[in-house]
Amino acid sequence: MTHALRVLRTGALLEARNVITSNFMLFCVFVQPFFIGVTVMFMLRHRPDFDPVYVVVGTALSGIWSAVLFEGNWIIGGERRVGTLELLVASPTPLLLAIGGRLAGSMGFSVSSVALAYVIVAWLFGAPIRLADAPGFALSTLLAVFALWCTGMLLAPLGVLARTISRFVVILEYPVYALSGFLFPILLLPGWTNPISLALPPFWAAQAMHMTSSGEAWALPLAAVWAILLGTGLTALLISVPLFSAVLRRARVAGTLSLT
Amino acid sequence: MIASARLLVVSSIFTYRALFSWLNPASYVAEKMLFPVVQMTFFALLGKYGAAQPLDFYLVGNALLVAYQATFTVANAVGDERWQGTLQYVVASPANRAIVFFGRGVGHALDGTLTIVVAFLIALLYGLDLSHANVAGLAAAIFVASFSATAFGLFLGAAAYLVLDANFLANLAMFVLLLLTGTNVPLSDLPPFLSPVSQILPLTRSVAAARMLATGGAFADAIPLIAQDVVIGALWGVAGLVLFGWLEVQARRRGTLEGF
Repeated sequence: MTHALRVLRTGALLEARNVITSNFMLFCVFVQPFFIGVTVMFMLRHRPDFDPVYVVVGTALSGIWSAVLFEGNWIIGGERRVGTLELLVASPTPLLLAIGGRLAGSMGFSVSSVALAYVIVAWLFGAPIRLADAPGFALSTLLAVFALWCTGMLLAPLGVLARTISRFVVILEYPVYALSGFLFPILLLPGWTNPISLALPPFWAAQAMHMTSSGEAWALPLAAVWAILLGTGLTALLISVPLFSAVLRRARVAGTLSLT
Repeated sequence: MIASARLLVVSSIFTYRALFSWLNPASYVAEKMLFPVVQMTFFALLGKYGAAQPLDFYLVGNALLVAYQATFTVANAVGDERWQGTLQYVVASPANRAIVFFGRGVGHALDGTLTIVVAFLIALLYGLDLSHANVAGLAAAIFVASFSATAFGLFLGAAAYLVLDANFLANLAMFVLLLLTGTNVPLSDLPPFLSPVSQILPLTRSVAAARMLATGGAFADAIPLIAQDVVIGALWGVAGLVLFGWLEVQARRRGTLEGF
């Protein structure tokens, strides 16, 4: 257990140093959410029921999701590109832990988009920000980050196992914003998309954070939303385990990790 | 004259075929076609939720904004020549630099026109009403938007030699265009200090012209807007050529072709 935590911590610290000098990650976490936040403020502020905290939460989630999506998809491919994947799969440390630590580092960095979103709305637009349930919001954010990390862990092996699919990952950015109700309710979407929304950890993450920040009641109580958020995240993590095994099998048994 | 025309055609074709990193079916469909469509869908839904403007306002604006794809592809094609290993051949070649430089954009501008048309077709499925549209005028606005966005990309590609990251610049440009060209936020809603920036960007006038023509406005009324976008695009293209020429002189003088 101590060993696992040490691997996770080392991976996270290493990755944090890596991403703060990555133009692409800086773009995902700061530049893109800045423009999305400002654009959305201009687009939504005329609504009679407009709540600025809704934009703060949605903008922050957009930054975190972009980091999860791209980093998750490229994280193993990046190891392959720089020639360290072979060393990783040959080491006795589980690949899942090594990658999980790195992804946690990116996630920790991406959470700074919450602060950025706050600055945009409160400082740039002078809109009052009030959290209806601050402790609840803090817990929701923690659970959301965990569930999104789990989602990233599912994307990571897919990035090398199914490279054609991974090329389409870029188009999952905006659909997940929409399907998860980051910045507008999913009621605007066709009814047939609702089951997809309900299966996505980001949807439950947005639900929990919106409920605790704005104080609005929803069809389910907050505790149930937290439980489902945790459940969907853990499901994604469980699905990722055999996928990581498949990556290792390709590397050690088939010897085709660098060829696919 | 014939030699110049031939050089333009050859430069266009070879740039498109050899320096276009998305020129394979999966990447082309995902990055060039689907990504702009999902982005258009997201902002149209967001606009519908904000209800500050009619849905057609967002559909026409975002369908035309798809022109930024040409900005993106050509900026990368020009900016990445150093990494692709073709820059030294361009610099050493006695070919007319202006023809080679502008030839970089022709294929992408034509391809960009196709992408915008696809976006408009998708927008029709979302309920865009073009029953009274001036189709010929709208086609002209689309064509000009694609070419002026491409010219902007030529400038960004040249600028990328200074900042070393064409991808970052092109992504940044996409969000600037999204916010400041009137696509999602009416120009009158933006703070006055941003107005000069809006006015020098490509697409600002094409978007306005397309909205006018989509609702049946007379082509003659839209011509000044379209003509101004032609001029703006041409100025960005020439600025890119001048910058590229200056960088070339500096690189020759200092022997820093691989590092300026």
